[in-house]
Amino acid sequence: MIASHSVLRRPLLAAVIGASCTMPVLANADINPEFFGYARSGIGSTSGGGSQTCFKSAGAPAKYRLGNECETYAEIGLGAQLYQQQDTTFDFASRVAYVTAQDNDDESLQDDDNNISLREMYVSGTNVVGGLPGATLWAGKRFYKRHDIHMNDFYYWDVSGPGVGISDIDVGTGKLSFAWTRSEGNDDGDGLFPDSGQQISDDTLDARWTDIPVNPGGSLQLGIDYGRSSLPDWQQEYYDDQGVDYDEGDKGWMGTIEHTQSDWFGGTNTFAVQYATDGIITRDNNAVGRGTGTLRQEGSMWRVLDHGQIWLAPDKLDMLYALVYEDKDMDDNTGRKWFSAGVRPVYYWNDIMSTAVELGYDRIEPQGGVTGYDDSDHHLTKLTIAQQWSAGRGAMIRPTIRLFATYAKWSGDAYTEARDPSSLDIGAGGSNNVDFDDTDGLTFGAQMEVWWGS
Amino acid sequence: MLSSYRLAVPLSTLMIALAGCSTPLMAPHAPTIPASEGQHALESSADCCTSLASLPYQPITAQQTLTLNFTPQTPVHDFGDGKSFFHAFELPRNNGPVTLSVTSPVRDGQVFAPTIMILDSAFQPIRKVSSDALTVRRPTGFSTARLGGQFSVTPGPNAQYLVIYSSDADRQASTTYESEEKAYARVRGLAEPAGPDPRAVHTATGEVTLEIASLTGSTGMAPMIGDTPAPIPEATGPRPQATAPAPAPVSNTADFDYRRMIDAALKAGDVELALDLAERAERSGHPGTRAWLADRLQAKMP
Repeated sequence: MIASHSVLRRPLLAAVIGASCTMPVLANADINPEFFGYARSGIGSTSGGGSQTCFKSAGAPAKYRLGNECETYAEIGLGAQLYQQQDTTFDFASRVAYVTAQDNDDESLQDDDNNISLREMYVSGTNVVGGLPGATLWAGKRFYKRHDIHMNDFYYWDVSGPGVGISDIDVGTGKLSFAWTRSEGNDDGDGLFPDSGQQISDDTLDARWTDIPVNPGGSLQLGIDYGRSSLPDWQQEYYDDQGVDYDEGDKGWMGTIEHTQSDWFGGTNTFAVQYATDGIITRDNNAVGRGTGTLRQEGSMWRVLDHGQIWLAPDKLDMLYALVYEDKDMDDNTGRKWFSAGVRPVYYWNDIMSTAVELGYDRIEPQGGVTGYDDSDHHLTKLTIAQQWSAGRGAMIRPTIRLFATYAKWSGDAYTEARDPSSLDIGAGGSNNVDFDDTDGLTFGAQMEVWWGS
Repeated sequence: MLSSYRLAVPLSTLMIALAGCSTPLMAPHAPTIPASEGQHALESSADCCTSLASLPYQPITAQQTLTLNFTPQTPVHDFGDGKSFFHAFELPRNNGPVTLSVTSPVRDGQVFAPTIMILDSAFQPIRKVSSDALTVRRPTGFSTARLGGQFSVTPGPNAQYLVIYSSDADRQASTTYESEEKAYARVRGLAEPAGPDPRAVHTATGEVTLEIASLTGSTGMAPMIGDTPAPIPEATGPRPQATAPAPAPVSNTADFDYRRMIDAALKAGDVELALDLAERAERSGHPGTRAWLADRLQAKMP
């Protein structure tokens, strides 16, 4: 507060003097820090005893998140505009992300569930390239134009990482962006490398044509990502010696077509189709579109999704919804089909208080070669009711404090004999306090969620 | 299967939560009046006053934050450039320069776009800042998109009254602002939502926050730069205030009170500016100012 106070006052004082004397203006290039970020945290319990269990279908890359997040997660960002002359600007941004299991007060990073990671550290210059007005040149680590479904925290197009690029080149019809990003991986977990610390460099080249107007309120974007492992001579020789064929599996590409409709029942709708091949297909995790560090992953993936927000009754009732179908067909039969659907209607009692209900369903149909979780078809349904207090009306309005109760039901036992997760994946940060042989569970608790920026 | 005791705790938690439904946590701000309804109310309201001199001026102090509601119950006057709901104030005398900050939030795609008018003691308008000189502030996650501006004025016979209203020109314009979804995308490093930014219509009704703050923090101080209000460029906004008159250059700086300015800078926590001022004072024939500032700084140290 004190800092912003003096920042505001200073140009005023300077200008009072500047306006009244023949002295030159005093104002220097001040740095006005931008503080931005996101956080969620809370407390929960599992009915029957123990801390909160979070319900996720085994093998699914996402779970419906309302009243179903067991960790504390935060991103703290600091940045500043460092230069501005006419339309030319240079901006710096940084971001550190924190995740803890939300177990106690003093949570050590030595605990597997806890982490601090440096997610962003980059500079962007707008209007710095002659002949490309409005374009932004950037370099450094960053979140790069990530595409996600908010209600299940699923990132379906995310090539973030260290990189360089030029974005938003105005081509008359829409904008073009190009980027080169890096995502190192460790050799498929086979431990073939003599030293486990040795990594494979994966490059992703990303090209997007965005903001193409196609219909009133609607716009299209097309993207293509090419990923490949960049093997130095010694790694190639090493794999040749081991008899590993890396000709196909170390590279892949992904195409994305996405249509966004605004003025859609008071909100927006996004529809996307994606196709990916071989090495660019992420195994079970969230981000897709970047190299994965695998050399022998061959196959293809189709994905169709639709998600958005609509107002069913203006200012009274809105709804988030999501629909995903993904078919991962791997040559070694380790893929799976994933079907996911969810709705989150929220009724606003007034500007502050609302009641949210979230119903989510995930179904997994593994291919024959899947091991590590229930290799037969299985599914999980969750239902959450939450009373929320927020800083306004609308699905994306935060801060929010919510009290929730979540009920989930799934097929199959929670654990197999060997205590491997089967139909239920408790996810990071969670604990499985569901009893043996149970096929359903109930949790309750409280959570806050907030984002901010300047 | 779920036995009943397992349901008891979470369900009772939920019952308690739901019990709160009938009692709102806090009173929400006034509901937004639809644009057409507000405009109609304005047109059908009678002019409260025959002249600018007969407006209901309320005295304000030099340290005050007011929430001004422009509703069908607010007084109406035709200001020549438009009939409008308005609020009128008498500025505090003998306080030295003050800063006036106005903020008008965008709510439900509507915003009240204010003109700020300063009148002299004879009720003659001497300065107008219309809404196109205000800047659009982005939503931050803690506050919605809003129009905002800040300028300074030295109350005195030449600047005695303040009126906030909305002219016809203000209401014919509209404000393009960043949506909450776009702000969220920017803050989270997501792809920005496609499509144009939303546009807020300028309405006859709305809410404006007026913050008045003494620039020096002192009272009873003689006007710093004569009685002429010094127009202040927007602190952060990219657009110049087109309506502000050009500053009158003051050629004689002999009676320019550097020490008072330095005091003001120190009060504002700006040591760098204070040092700069001391340097200038030295150069323009006020020897000893630097040493005096050094004493002041030492006195301030714990």
